Amino acid sequence: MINDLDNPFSVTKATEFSDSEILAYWVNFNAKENVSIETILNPNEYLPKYVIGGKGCGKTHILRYFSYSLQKLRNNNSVIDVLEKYKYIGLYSVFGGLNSSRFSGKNVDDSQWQSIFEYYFELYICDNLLRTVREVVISLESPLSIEALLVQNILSIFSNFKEVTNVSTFSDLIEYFNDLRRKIDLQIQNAAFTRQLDFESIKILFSPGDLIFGIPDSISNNHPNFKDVKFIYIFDEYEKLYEWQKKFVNTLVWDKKTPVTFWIGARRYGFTTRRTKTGEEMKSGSEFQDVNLDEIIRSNEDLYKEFADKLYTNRLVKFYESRNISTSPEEASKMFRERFENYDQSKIINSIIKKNINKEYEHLSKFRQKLNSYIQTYLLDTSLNGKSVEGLIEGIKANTENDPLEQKYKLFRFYYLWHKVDRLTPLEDILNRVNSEYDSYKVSKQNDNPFIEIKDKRKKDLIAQLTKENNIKNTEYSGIENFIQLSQGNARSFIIILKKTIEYSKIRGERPLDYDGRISLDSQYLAVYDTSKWFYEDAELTGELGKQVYISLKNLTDYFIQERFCDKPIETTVSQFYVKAEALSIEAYDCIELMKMHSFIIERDNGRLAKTSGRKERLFQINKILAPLWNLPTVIRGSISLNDEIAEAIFNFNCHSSFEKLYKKRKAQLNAPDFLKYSSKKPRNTESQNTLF
Amino acid sequence: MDYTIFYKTSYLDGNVFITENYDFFFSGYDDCDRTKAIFDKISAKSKFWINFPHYNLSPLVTDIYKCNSYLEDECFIDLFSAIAVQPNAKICVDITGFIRPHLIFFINFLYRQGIKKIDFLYSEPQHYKKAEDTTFSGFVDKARLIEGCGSATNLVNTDNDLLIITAGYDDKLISSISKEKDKIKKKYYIFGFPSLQPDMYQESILKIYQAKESIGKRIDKFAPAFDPFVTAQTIDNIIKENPNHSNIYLSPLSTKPHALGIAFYYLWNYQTKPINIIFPFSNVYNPKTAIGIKKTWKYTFELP
Repeated sequence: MINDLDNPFSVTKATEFSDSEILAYWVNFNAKENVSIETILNPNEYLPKYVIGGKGCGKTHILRYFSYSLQKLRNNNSVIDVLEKYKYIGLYSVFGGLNSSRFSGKNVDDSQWQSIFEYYFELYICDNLLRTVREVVISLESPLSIEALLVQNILSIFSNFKEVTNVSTFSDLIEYFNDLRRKIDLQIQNAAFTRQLDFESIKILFSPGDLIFGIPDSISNNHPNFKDVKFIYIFDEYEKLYEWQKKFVNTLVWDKKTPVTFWIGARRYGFTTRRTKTGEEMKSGSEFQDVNLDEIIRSNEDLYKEFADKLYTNRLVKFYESRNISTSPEEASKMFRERFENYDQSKIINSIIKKNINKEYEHLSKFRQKLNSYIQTYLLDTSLNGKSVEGLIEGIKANTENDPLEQKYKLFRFYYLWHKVDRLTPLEDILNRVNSEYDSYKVSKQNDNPFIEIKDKRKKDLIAQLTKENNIKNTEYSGIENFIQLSQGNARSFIIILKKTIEYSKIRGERPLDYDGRISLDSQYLAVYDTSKWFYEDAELTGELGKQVYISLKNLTDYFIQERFCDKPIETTVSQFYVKAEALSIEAYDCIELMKMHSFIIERDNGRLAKTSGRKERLFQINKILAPLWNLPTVIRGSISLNDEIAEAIFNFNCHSSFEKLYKKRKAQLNAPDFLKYSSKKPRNTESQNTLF
Repeated sequence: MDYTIFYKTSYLDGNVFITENYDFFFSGYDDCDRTKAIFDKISAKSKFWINFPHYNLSPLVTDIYKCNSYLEDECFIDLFSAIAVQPNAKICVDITGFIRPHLIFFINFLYRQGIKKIDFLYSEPQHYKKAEDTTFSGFVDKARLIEGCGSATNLVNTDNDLLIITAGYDDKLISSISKEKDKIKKKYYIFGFPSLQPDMYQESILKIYQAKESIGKRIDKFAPAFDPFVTAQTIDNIIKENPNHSNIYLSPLSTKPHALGIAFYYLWNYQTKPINIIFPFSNVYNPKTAIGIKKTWKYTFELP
């Protein structure tokens, strides 16, 4: 299917791939080393695996890769090779098809639903098993006597087996299973109207686990080609089950019997219980293994980069092949990368200059407003008047050659000193100091000059401020390397950025896939922004809780936005926060965990101990893919500490109403002239102090 | 079967002229002029306003039936316990103020009672209060099958499942269903064209673009926003285009006539095809979204 498309990155979900495409677009993660997906899942062992990961981490692609149909494709459709080489059969099933929500309500008792679901579940899952075995038996031309024996052995699991007639082949057996399931489907449908289940017409004919373990056991013992072959039930979409249904599946995992094991794929937010039906907590490591794809990938940044490189290169090569253009992966990658217009801050600066050719820069207008507000509100600097305000503005512009970024550097220094120095210090004095430092920086760039550090550490933040003030795209999120970083271990995010990049570039007539084409910064920016928006809106959050989490995320990002877009940022490029999560309310703690599960925030393993209390402070980062949505930084540098009060206001929905007040207070602390209220420098005489307060 | 041959007619500016004296008339109370005007004009032995808790209204009208549950199958229990609906009863339902999944369950329930013929009314508004920014529902609580509207045969092999959504301009609902059934490869979207209001079709297209990445690859189809029978026919055509289909999921996310079309198709086919109706449920719906009556449609369902 993908070959028919004119964008090699059009398919962003494994679901849309055919089996052959799953194979063609398979890229192993660090194939040579011990963190290879194949090594981690290790089909040679019986230890069950819970494969956990956020949307788009590649979970379905991985699980399907190990399914029987892919095993065959990997071995030229040789069934005997599958059995002898791999010694396992991957039985892939998707839980979404169960429509598990049917098994509830309708005035039917929970315990009745539980037994019906468990019964239905095995009939449902074993359909794929029987079809697979039937195919193997036919391919191997097994004697009919073996098939009859196997079928009779399987039938003997059913309590009514003596009454079952005309079932002698696997096809008959599959049909028999279908009939049993159909009766339940019909009962569930009718129960909405009759308000009950008719157990007379359903009749439960075997105990939990009898089919799911009994059939493989029977086949393994009675068919020579299945000797020592494992049956791996590969379940996808575990998150689609209710809690009690998950416990049933966990119980099967816990009770597993050879030759059976399980691999269970789940979204992170969906892996909500490790308990079995009897309340036992399964132990990770001994009874099952957690395979957290997000963590594996994120903790190996270099490997992810390599993986992402292969991922897009592979698609490009296949795309060109489908157009009869032969190219090596290296060449395809090199040519593609060369088409990306490079980020260049001067382009942003020039756009701003051009946009403001006949008017004053926004940062200067705001500066004027702040000075006037200072005069009106604080009345401390009696020497300041309209004329001297203009003088201060001219002073900021001096020697900057109308470069808005240079003016921003000076303003940053001015605000810093204004907040720091004694309040009776005339603003002209502050300006003189700024200009003196700036002029000297322009001449000699000595190491101790504050502008050296401002330029080094604050440039990205100040460019972000300029782009926001002037409504210009901040194209810092550009280029393949940045795309990989932004996707933060999530292959789908990366592919979606590329998909959209190609789309936007094509609309602009840039011919991004032609050898002489190009991909403008504009196209790259729009692609990144769209992907960011998709990630934000696509979270599977439902109900009241989902709404609350979105409010919490808005509060959190508002707080971060404020830290970046203010006059006196404390930290540089803030993208992380420390929080004493364990000291917070249950509501706030749960919200943080939920945001983490949905990858809105990512926990970094290097938390710290608080200086005073010695309590553990956990460190989180806003997912980089969300950064472009609010013009936030992606580099890991600055962090802020959220004290308990603000953390509760952000994450605890019962305290959301207090956020606005705290936000305003923080805003005042970070912006002129109100930051003077919070300055540690007090006026020199009490008379002035009384005037001020 | 040709679904487009069933009877429909329309009346302008609320001038509904229906001489039939029904046994029962039901209407969803949404506090809009268009439903109130029609309620008064219909002649029936028993008339019921159905007050859905989702709207959070306290109507000051008589003949009110208050639903005590948000759930579609529990909502009408007391109503149907109180009234005896005979298979030959003459029934008319104004669907304008109904909640979509509840409407579908309601029709299904009547059908299960042996009702073979029902008249439905739907009034198009002069306009919506907030035009294209109108939101009809709140945050989605859960996407699931509508009770009683699951398949009588749930097929295990889901490789050729079909998802058919009638798409309106609430992209969050579309996105929610697309995500719930994101393993389905073939997704069809039936847009309301011609739409009820001149710019609604364009808005729907723009809105679906916002849900683009949740949807993945999609195939677009069209059916008039006011016509349940063409909607049913369009669904039938899609299914015929896919003779090897496995499970079929229908989702009514656009106009109520489209939802009616889905119910109609389901009732004609659920015994022979693996059809399910799925919906992103919310406990909050906005009443009073519309102003005036432009046109009132009457559709007559004849069921197998």
